[in-house]
Amino acid sequence: MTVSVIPVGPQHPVFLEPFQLKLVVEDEVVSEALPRFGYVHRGLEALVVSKDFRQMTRVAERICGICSAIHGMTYCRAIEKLLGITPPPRAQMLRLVWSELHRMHSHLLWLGLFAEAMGFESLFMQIFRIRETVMDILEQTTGNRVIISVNVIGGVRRDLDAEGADGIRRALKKVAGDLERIRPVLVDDYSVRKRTEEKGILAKERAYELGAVGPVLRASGISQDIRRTGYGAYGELDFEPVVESGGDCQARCKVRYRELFQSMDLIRSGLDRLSDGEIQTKSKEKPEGEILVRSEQPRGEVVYYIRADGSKHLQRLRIRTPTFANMAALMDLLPGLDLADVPLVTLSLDPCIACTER
Amino acid sequence: MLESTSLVDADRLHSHAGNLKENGWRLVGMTGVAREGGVDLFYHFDRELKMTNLKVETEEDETIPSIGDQFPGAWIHENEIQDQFGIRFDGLDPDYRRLFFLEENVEATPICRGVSARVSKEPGK
Repeated sequence: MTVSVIPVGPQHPVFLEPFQLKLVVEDEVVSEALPRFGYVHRGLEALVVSKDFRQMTRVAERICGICSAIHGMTYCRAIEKLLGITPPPRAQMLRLVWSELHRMHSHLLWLGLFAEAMGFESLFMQIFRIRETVMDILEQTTGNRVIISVNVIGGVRRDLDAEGADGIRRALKKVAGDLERIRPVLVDDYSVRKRTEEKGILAKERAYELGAVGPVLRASGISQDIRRTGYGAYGELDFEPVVESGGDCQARCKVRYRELFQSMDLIRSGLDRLSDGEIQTKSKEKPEGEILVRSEQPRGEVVYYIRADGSKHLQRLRIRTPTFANMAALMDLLPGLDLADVPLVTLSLDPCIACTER
Repeated sequence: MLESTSLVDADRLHSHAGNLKENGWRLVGMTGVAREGGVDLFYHFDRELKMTNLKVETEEDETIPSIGDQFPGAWIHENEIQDQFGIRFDGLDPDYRRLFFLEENVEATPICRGVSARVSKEPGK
């Protein structure tokens, strides 16, 4: 038996961000895996000593280049709770719409990269074409594609007129049609199934024990979605978490694919219920106290802890991002895999290293 | 004070965490907050979308038991806190010895300023 140690990364075609896996491989089968971090660690949490609590909204948005809006929203929700203010209903619903658009573009990005990791270039191009429609909506309604900076403490910075809402509805109709067309390829295609079915199986009990979150947990058969706590405007809308039972790469793919349709339903319902009124509640107070706030990002549960003493600088900001929680599950999945399946299984967890390291 | 938080002694942490584990709680994460003379450690748990927290007020040079044997996902949280605050976790596996995010030449604990690093980066110390 030949035992070798293979460093995968920090630069690797499948990992788009720098991160290293040290794999101990015995005859092409992984027997041990150890991750190495620190390549994109920016110390953003420690910036609370030099940026005031309002400026930190912009820092929170820049933690991740994919789910930026939800980071911003979660930070604002935490500060709003400390200040004792509630954003107007219209602002809460607009936050929901932009959050779900972010979830859509994140899931589409992942689906595209997943197709590319399988070597399915044409599917990758098709999915990115669909994603571009969502990016266009974001740009038209907020002025930017990813770092949309719509969240401010007390509400949102931009409003949406009736024409903008109709534009979103029309674009979503097109996206839904396009997604239906790729469904047979993602779900039934022989080659795709061969690469994804029964690869990297994470059992239900093990997923829960390891603290996995988001689509990874739901693909293992656990119905958990932080949006069900009813934060913001989510309490007004009725939906059930998307759950699959396979626990393999195919199940994780199906969960994200089905969540795209769920997000579209939530956006349409949100736009239909958009009430008239203000979009921001202003406050001149400074936050004081301790708070823990959670949201559901595309990759799962994000947790913000804040301690504030009534001055303009927070004492502590701690962000537990979803990929950080899913790393333990990834390290549990890798031993026993064929070396050729490692990139695809790693990608199936949708790792975001910028989030993990902050 | 954070909602639903119980203050526990470091030597009772294992039994408290064990009770939570038996009752189906999931480890969500850990937070370290610097205070005068030590660090406040929070352990966050979730069950059916409800949260509960354990708080351990650590003193300087105190070693905290790792809960990795009860919650196998705890190693990543404990290694990060070891990096940031220099707190030593007894039984931590895998133990990155403060090289989880940090480079080898970093000696100070980046968030807990003023507290010297208590974990040596050299193996076996």
